[in-house]
Amino acid sequence: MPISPNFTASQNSGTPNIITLTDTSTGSDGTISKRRVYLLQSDGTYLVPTGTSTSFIEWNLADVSISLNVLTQDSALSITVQWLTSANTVVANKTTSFAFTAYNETFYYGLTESQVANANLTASTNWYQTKMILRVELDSAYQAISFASDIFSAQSALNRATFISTNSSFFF
Amino acid sequence: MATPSEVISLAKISEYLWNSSIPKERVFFNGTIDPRKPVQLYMEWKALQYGNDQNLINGTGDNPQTLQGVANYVYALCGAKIGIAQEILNNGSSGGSVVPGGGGQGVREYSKFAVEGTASITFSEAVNTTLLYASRGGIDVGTILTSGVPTANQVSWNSSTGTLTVSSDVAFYLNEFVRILVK
Repeated sequence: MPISPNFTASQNSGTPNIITLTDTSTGSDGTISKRRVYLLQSDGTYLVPTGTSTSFIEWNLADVSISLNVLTQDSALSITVQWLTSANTVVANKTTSFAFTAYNETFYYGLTESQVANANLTASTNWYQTKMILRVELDSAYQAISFASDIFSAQSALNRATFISTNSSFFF
Repeated sequence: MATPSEVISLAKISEYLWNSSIPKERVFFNGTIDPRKPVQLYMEWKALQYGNDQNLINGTGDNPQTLQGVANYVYALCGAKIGIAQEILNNGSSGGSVVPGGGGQGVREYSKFAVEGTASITFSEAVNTTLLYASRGGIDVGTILTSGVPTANQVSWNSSTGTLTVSSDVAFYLNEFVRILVK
């Protein structure tokens, strides 16, 4: 059966700097000998781990998953995985857009935890107002990805959310 | 104690129910519900959903709380809608439905304007049903009794006749709007 390329991406609250890709392809192709990952950012550049000199990341065919330590803040990425021959001819490829939001979602969850600890926090004029803006920016990022694979709009929303979470002392 | 997953479902239903209540309250009763209620619920169940997805059992951040603690907080925010939300959640998986003013086997809603000075009102369509909720003039009633004499904000429900009885000390006023949910 010919290869039907596919992959998933995930991120964990405790290690938001790391994204994990998992190959979920079905079928096979005997000519495939290598696999590459491209992490396209909204500014048109490719994101790679420190020390990588190419615009892509080699993903060993023997590994079902690969963990990439690449993020420093929430990011919208268009991820392309290529399956290639030894002569670097692309046999199959798959591109999917993702919004990686663990930095801000974890911060957002922390706000709710603070409310549990001290319910009076919500009496502050700015608390719910700013928290709602944060929620809207995160939802906007998800929708930009799911409706239009629009990493530029998604990244813009995530940047606005990040501004709130990294300057939280001014907002909450 | 409801699990975090259950609370997420209950909060989603409650958000809808509060959203549904607010326009009615504005029209008929001069707006007695905090209009931010459904927005607050949305914001908090989204957080709980993230915590549940990430399995943040012991919490995170500067004020770590257990996941169950956060779930209990969101549960409490559901407020007066939690009973109906629970009913809908329980019926939902078996195809139950809300049919306002109509028949069916799920939760049904009826409303009437009461006669001034009386303490009972009969809903003939609701004979042989269980009373889940009642309100007078948009205000939730207290404990629902199935026997005995109601006092204060208590009410008594006679299933065989579909009659709702309030305390004689607080009889209905002229054209008081009475709303019930039965199953």
